[in-house]
Amino acid sequence: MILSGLFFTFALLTFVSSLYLVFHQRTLPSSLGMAGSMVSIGLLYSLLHFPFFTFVQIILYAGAVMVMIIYLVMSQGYEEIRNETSLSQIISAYIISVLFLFSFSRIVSKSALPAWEKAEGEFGSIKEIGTTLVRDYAVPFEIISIILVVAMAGSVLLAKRSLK
Amino acid sequence: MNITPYILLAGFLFSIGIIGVLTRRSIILVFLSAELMINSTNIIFLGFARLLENYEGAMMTLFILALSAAEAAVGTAILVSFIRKTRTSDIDSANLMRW
Repeated sequence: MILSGLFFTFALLTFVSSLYLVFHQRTLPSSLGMAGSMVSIGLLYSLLHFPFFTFVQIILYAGAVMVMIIYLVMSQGYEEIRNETSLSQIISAYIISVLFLFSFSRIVSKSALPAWEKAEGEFGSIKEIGTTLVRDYAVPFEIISIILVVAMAGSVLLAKRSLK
Repeated sequence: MNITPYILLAGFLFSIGIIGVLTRRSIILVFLSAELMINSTNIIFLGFARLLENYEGAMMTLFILALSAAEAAVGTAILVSFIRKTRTSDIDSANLMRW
């Protein structure tokens, strides 16, 4: 009972702040809506017995990525957008979105998903996640580290000189 | 409590992200809406990891998080150099590869 109440609170928070992100006119409040959405998605993870991902989500998104984005908005995104989105583009965006949502919810309602049982004691703890990561997923872990180094070098190189 | 509301929430977030990507003018907000779509898939992965009580979905989420951090870094660098070149954040100015 408490869990479903918490779920609906966090889901409402996520929903409202993502609507804020998409529909607010100005760039900076929209990106703050993104930060709120990321925090409340992270809180939803803790309801799924993954508190580790709550911390990762809040530190990574609401911390690192959003600081970067807000820095970008404040330093570069000042320019007024003059021309509006055309009406046909808006209508087609809504049609695509509603079609996606309709088919998605139809698939979900057709498939009888079982209710979950009470999780075992250790499930979702940081120890278990770390053990699984280095035992079963060691190679993807190393590949991810290479990708992160390449992305870091590439972003420094891209931001240093302007596009010709 | 079961997994269905989580999946429906993820579907809602994904369709909001679609609207954001297709209708916003600022290139920064298009980027942020794409991030929102990535995060809605993470909810589904973690929900099924919880339902099946194994760690495969959780590992997938971990890798998606790492990849989207890398993507945010590269994306921000591209946005900085794009805005520096075109002097605007209007998405219609992104016509460098159009012919």
